[in-house]
Amino acid sequence: METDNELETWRLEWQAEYFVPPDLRKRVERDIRRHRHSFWASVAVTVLIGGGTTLWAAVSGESADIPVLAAVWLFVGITWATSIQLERMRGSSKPLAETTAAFLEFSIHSCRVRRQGIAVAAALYAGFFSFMVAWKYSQLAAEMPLDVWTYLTSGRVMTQCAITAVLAVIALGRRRRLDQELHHLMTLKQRLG
Amino acid sequence: MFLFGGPLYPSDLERRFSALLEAHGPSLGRVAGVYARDPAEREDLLQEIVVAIWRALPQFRGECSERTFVFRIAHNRGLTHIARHRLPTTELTGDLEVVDAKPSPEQALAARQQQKRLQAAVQQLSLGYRQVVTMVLEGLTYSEIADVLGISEGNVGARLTRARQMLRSLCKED
Repeated sequence: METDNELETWRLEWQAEYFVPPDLRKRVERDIRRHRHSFWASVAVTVLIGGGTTLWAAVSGESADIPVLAAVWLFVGITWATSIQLERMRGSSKPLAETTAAFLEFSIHSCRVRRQGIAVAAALYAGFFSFMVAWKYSQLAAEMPLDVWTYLTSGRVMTQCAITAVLAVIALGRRRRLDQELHHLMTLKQRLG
Repeated sequence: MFLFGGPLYPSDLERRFSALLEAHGPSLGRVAGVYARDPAEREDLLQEIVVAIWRALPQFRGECSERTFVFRIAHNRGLTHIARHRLPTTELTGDLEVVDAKPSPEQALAARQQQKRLQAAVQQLSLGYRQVVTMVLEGLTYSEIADVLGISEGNVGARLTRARQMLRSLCKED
């Protein structure tokens, strides 16, 4: 009886606290809209890149631009297909309401898939980047004699390499964070199991 | 139309969402408190929890009680928060500040001290105990807690007994 009183006292003390920021609803709505906008932003980027390249190829009328156009659409297509496939593998469409144990399993799986996603994105980027560098070289070399080394050390290629290096650092940082998250999730699973 | 500022849901879901927030908002705020280190982090986590509820609500078909549904999501988001921020799971320290407490006169001060003491003690429990105690303090039944955590009712009882012993000694230390 005494212990029940104790629990009841704790319960009253506990529930007396009120922590709901007055602007919570607004913040949540903002967040939800941002989620929706991010999807449409991806669509817009696709339309911009794909449409822009198509327009550029149509305006130039050069048959040499067709491989670039094909490569861009192939890249865009693979990126979308891979993203959708990864999302399905990650199971993000599953309802979030599961038991804690099941949720931890799901989180671990999701974390692994996100790590794979980084590797896939890096491979896609590397393929597209190599293609673009090679294509540009073939274009320039057709107009004038051009040494490969001179081309690779030119300002334009070096700038692209610098951007690639920055992207690589970001990807590695992201992968490192995911590794840590995965490790922590495994520890949680062990601790709560 | 809803993409850029219209209603978030069809009206019936919108009503359910609002009702859930109304009924469980304060509980969610307290649950967020057991996973976060400071008030700012707690606000962010609470926001994440509510967004997760919004995302899961259309799939909720009443397979469990509404309270179980809400608490599952809250604790799951709490776990994600711990994993992402690499927070300790055995011990959490730090001064807790209660924001937006309902203003009331002097007697609220003493009550607030008690709340703080209890909150600090709960936060020092290891994660498994912390989850059970939080839900018991929120008034969930053993069966509901077992449903949320995916453990047996017996296990809930055992964890609660141990957690209460620890809470008692932690509150005494203060």
